[in-house]
Amino acid sequence: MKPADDPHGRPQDERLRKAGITVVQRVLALMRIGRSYRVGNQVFTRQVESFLEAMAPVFREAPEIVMVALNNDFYVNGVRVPLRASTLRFQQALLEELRKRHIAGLKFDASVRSKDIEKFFEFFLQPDSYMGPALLEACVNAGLHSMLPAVHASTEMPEHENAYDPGAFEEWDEKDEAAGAGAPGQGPGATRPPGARAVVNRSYSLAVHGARSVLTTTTLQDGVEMRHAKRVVQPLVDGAFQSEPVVMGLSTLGHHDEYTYAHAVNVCMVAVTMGHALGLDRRALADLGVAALLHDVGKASVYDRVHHALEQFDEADRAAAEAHTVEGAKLIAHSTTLNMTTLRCMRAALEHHAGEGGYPRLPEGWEAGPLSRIIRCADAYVSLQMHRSPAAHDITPYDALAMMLGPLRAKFEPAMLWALVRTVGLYPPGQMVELADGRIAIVLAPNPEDLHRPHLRVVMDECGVPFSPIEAKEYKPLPATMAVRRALPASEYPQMPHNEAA
Amino acid sequence: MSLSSSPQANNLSPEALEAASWLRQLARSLRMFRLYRTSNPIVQQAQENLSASLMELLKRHGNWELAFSSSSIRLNEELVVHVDQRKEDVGSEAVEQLPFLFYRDGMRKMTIAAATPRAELETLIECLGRSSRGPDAQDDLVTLLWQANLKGVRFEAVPLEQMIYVSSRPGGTAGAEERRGQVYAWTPSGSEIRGDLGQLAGKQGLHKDTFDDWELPGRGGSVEQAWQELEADTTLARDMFAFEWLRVSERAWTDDIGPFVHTLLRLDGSESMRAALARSLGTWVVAALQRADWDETRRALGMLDTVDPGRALAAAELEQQLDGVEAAALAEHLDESDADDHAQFVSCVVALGEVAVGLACAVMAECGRARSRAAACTAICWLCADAPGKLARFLGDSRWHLVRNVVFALGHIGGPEIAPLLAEVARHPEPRVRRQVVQALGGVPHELALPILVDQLDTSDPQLLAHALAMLTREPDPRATEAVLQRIQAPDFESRSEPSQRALFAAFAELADDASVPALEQILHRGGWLARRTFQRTGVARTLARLGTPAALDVLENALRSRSEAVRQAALEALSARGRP
Repeated sequence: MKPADDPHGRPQDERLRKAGITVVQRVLALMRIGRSYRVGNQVFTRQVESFLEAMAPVFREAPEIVMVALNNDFYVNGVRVPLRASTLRFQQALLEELRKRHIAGLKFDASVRSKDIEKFFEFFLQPDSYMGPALLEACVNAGLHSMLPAVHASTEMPEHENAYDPGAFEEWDEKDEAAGAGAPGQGPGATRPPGARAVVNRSYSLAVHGARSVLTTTTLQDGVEMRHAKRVVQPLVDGAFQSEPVVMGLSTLGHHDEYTYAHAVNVCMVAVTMGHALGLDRRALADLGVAALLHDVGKASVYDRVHHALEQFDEADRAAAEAHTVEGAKLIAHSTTLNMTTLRCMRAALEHHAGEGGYPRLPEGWEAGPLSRIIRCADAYVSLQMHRSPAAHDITPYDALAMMLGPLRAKFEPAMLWALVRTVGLYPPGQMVELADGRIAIVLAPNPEDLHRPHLRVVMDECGVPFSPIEAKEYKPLPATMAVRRALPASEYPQMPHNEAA
Repeated sequence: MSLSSSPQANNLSPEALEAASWLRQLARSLRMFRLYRTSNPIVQQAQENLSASLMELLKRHGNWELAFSSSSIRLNEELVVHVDQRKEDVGSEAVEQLPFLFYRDGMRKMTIAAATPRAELETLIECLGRSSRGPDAQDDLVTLLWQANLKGVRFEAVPLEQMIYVSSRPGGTAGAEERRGQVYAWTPSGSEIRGDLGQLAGKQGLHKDTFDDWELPGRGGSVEQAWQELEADTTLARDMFAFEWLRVSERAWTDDIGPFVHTLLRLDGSESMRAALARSLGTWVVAALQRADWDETRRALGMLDTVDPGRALAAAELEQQLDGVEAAALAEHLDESDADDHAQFVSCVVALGEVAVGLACAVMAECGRARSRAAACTAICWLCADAPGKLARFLGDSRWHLVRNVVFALGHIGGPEIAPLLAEVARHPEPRVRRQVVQALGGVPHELALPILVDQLDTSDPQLLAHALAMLTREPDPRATEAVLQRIQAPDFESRSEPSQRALFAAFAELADDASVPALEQILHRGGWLARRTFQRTGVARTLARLGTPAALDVLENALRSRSEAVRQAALEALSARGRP
């Protein structure tokens, strides 16, 4: 297996899949040999050493290896170990062994050494004495920290870590401030208007996670697992068909790195919903979603040549930044199998800035494709909302939309702008609005039936007194008897006390 | 596995029995779908039959709720397909591959509603057919079904990747366990082991989105007003977009590749762009080849040659990609194809060039029919005619039949270059390979072939020995004569099988001349007074008789006067057989 920075290496998740197969086989082999030879015997020790060698490449990329069984599947660091006819028996045998011991899997720390593994197997090979928590207890008692059994595995997030829980707005403020982190690119202390945090649903968190995985593999020279990418966008496309609220303005995430994912996923969601509004079928929407996820991959090739913020770009910065489109197409060409989806992705990467005053200047006779144009519009809108320039810190979702329909209108064809408004509504999610009766509300989702009356949550009464989370009233959508008076500019956004914003 | 033989079969409900039968039919049909093109009437008929019978079953029995494991399929909790993993040849029956086909891609449950329209059932079967075609399928079963968006078919699938949380507490009983208060205080990180999974960005990193790429314009005005203006005049624009999309989707995506590639090259004609495109086009070539779509393969190759005329950029990648082609599927297709298809295969492989040698060999190894093997062999001969050394790595393959066929191809190529390759494999443990080596030596200059052939004279396989001797006698050579004589003189000659001894004598008779007579005389008289009647002695006498030169006949005449009865007898028999008492 080649290390991560090997330019000819395989994609990371692909490497993990391969490593997963080996880890499963080696653990099983250790178990079997442990039955015939005592722990400490030369034969067993040799197996332990080769097991450590098998894990070494993974440890070069990750601090730990967590191998767990979940519903008859093995996952290594979250990546499902692929099933092959030739490895099926190994997996089943190991599953059975884990079941016998009432554990879900094993966790290895990068500091694990032969003696740790041998110590662990001393307990592990006595399933009648040590199983489930008792096995864990024995390991911990013996001072083992680098190799431990995982008693339970689940895809459900532990409650206290549910950072994407829509009801956990209050936690976000605390976390942000404690970390001194503002919106990505704005530097510590700068914060988005609180209303910019919008509805977050499970599809979104899955998509962000999936996008992270897909984009993590999309570095220079590495491959993109398109099947994976397509799976990632499926819930988003389903959401568009089910008129689920579009998530926008999710500007505050746990890590700065996640700007990338949030941007990619937001562009993806907006583009997919726009595509749906424009009448594209599911297959096309899936391709559109994947293309939107990958539209900016070319930045990986040029980021180190861009030394200033957009407002201070010199010629070299500009040339490098503009090259990200061609580089994106090149990167996708290099790292995927050519098929209809990847061709569309390449086109979107190349063409998502092309057009009126854009780049690159396409040769005569070549025009940006329909999907690329949708992504271009979605990208512009999302970028305005998540812009990193100091001048942008007070741009609300409504402001971003107003820019699209105002100063930027000539850059986009009317059908795209129409689809954008159908997607985000007149008051995009995350926007704070003043209702006709003077109360302040945050928009949760657009209402396709009546763009003037979105779904919203009232957060303050007409005197500016915030409602507690219990008191806050939601309208899904705003009834015909009520109306939005205006969208609040950022300067008028109320300061929401902690624990009450929701 | 077959269901009928399974112990459960007798206990199945009529519905389950019929379902099992339908699944067997499905499995057989899927195999057929792999072999023939979708336009083939047999395939279409099979698809129709499957959907019709499924519809009938659903009507009769109601919804189907299928659950998949890696080795079984259950219908409403009844085991309708079960693969016995302990079986030696598991997977040999078509139906045994069925559970894994679903399970592999993460499919765990599927519900087919009784009222599912026929068209949807046909789509379902088409999706299964596509996903069963192996690695060329660009989408897995889950994505195919998701895209098909069937109203009557619902399914549950596990994701390819997900965030998993591991903990020290047993699931569902955390509270009870926690009350014991002894386990969790000792866990390494408080009460939870938190595997922060799927966040392995590390040095591989994200794509670096560190700069904005849309300039901030001035502030806009009222969205409501702008919308009012926009909404009024977008109908035409939307219609135009819809029309454009229709046009785009009706066009084959492959038609866009050429223009797009040229556009990219005009924007960036650098070598790195060419290399990226060459790699991408290489994947297209391989995918088309895997589907046995010869026309598309040639188109893709044509495009590849435009980007990378000498294939200098693509060769290594292409070779690696071709290694991933499922040769068995391609061979299966060729086995069921006609001569035209074979010719197309040969033409594509030859057009691919040297990089396809591995593929051609792999296909040849998998082909079940002589005609398709011959096609692969022809391609190999074309590809390696100028450099047979490319076949060297296949001579070490563990499959003797592949080695034999490669040797066969080498024989066709002929020439002095193949001699070292044949020498390398001349000691292959499988006699059939060695026999092929001997035959292949026919195309090798005598000088080079001789030592390899002589090596074969010690074989215990009479057929191989006969082949080797036949080759040696084609071109008389004193070294060959000497080699055969050595075998005849060898102390262990008598322990060789009679056919081998006969063959050696027969060949020696062809090769020998007067120079060999003294040696033969010595063998004839070996043992002196105590000489016994042996096959060796008789054989030598006959050889002398067949030689028939005066010197040889003199030896026999003298032998008639030998004091040894056995010698006299051997000479007498030989001369009698020659017509001289």
